Amino acid sequence: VKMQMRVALPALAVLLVGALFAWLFWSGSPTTAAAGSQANIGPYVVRLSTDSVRRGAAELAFDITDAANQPAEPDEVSVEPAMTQMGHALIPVRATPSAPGKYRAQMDFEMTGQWDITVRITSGNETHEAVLSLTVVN
Amino acid sequence: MSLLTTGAGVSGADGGPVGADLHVAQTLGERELTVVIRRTGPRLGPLPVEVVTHAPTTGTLRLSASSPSATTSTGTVELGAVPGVHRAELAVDKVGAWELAITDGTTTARIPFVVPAQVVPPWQRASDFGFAAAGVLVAVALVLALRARRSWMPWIPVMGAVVALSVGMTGAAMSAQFPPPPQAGRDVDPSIPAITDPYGQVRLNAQAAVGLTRAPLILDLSGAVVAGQPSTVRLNFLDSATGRPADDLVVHHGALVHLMIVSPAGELLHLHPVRVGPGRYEVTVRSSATGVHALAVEAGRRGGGTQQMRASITVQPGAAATRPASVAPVSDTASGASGEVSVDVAATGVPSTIRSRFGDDPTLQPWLGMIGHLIVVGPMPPSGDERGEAAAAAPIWSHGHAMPPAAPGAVGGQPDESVATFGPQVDFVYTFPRPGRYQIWVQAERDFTVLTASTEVEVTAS
Repeated sequence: VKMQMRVALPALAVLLVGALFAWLFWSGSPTTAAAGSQANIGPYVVRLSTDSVRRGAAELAFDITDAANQPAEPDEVSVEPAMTQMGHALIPVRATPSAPGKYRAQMDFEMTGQWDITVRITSGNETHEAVLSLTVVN
Repeated sequence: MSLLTTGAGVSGADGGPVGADLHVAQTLGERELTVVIRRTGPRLGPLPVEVVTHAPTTGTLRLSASSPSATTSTGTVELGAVPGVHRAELAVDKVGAWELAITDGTTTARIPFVVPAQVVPPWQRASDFGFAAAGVLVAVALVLALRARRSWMPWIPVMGAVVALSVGMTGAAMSAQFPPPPQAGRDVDPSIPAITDPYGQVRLNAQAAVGLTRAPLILDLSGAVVAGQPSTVRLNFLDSATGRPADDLVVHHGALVHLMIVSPAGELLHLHPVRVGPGRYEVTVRSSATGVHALAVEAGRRGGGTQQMRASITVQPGAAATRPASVAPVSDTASGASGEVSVDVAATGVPSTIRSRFGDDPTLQPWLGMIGHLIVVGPMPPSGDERGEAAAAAPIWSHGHAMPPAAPGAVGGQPDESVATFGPQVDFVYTFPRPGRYQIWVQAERDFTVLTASTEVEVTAS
């Protein structure tokens, strides 16, 4: 038993060092904040809740705040997705508020890649367009 | 009445190369500037910016660098009576798509650029991990060789070390063979995932099975030009597939957009419209001649390739109109006697040599990254007053370059305009495709002043 311990303990220590190395190398993966794309437009700040969704039907959630960082409640918000790399655009969808300043829109992304999400905000006779980026993955 | 504003659109905006200095020519108001954004990132901090003037001019330019959810940094440059380099230092504090705004009080040019992230390529990861694991396993083998009772035991970690070494060596040896991933800003939109995980873009593009190139641009030109007055010409670039603004122009040959104008008197202006919003560009044109001016616009979208768009504008008579007359300074372009062009004209389909000479001293500077620019327009009727109209109708409009010689070991990109060691002879080779009369212009730079020389040639059919 003593002999086995003499082998096992250093081996365990070395394995731990190896695991530490592995962790150091692999944890350095370049993932910064998982926050979604943000755009500042006119009096509004528009922020997507995520920067990537899966292909197919997806619910996009985003916040709209005003310059004072308070939830904004414009008259109408619509979402216009387009994939510039492929040269196609989807039918605009009206976003529905789920809480003050929080919006949702149902989309169907048929192709993986980089999409431009134009959020059109109408309040009174003013219209603002924020362009956000979204990655659609498999 | 409805008011429509469109965001500065940093997230998907136009841009330039990442990891190198960005040189962008900008015709801001009546000043022709070169803006140099020095390479920045992955270490965040100072952002040196240089503004190069090409004519005596005074005044202050305000600069600001901004990105959504980052701290906006501002600075100013005081322009002086001597053309040259003016420096400012801004700062960046976040990886992502940024915009450098430069304003002269009237027009604000918005130049998109990318602050890159530190990216460890997968092969480097494999190589690092392989060598580290091999080291650890060799140590385990040593310990086992000294302490284990059974002689076969050290062989297990030795085998592991061999495997780990081969992983490490394969990774290291293959490193030079792997193509770089698509570059955020140049090849794909500079979204945060594209900047921080460019290898993820390789997977994405493999899934979508499409190239990176995009639909052609549409040029929507507007604005009235009145003779003798600085007039604003607006260039809106649209995606021909969707009709949406195309906010993905990349810097090519030192500018986002090159605009060449031929006046009724046959003079050339080479301007660089400034980006004022997503897909929206503006340029100030001042011409003292009325009549048709021919335009050629060159721009390239993200994903590769550039395209030429041709148009014409008719300058309306103003209070001070004369005709024909010279095109006034707009680009600070000195015309005429500053250089000579001689052409060894060959028949169509056979390369001709175009030789130009600017003075006697080898002190030319690169302009737009090139020692010389060649513009060939034709075939068109022999000289007359209506050169603009003839140039607008000409089937051939070419723009070629004389490149600076490669500097061995140079890093950070092309030599900038402070390197005055080129010329005075600048040669081009050009194959005239059709017989007829062509007008040729060659442009170069000395003492930060853009020089233009011109000639006409008659090309015969082969």
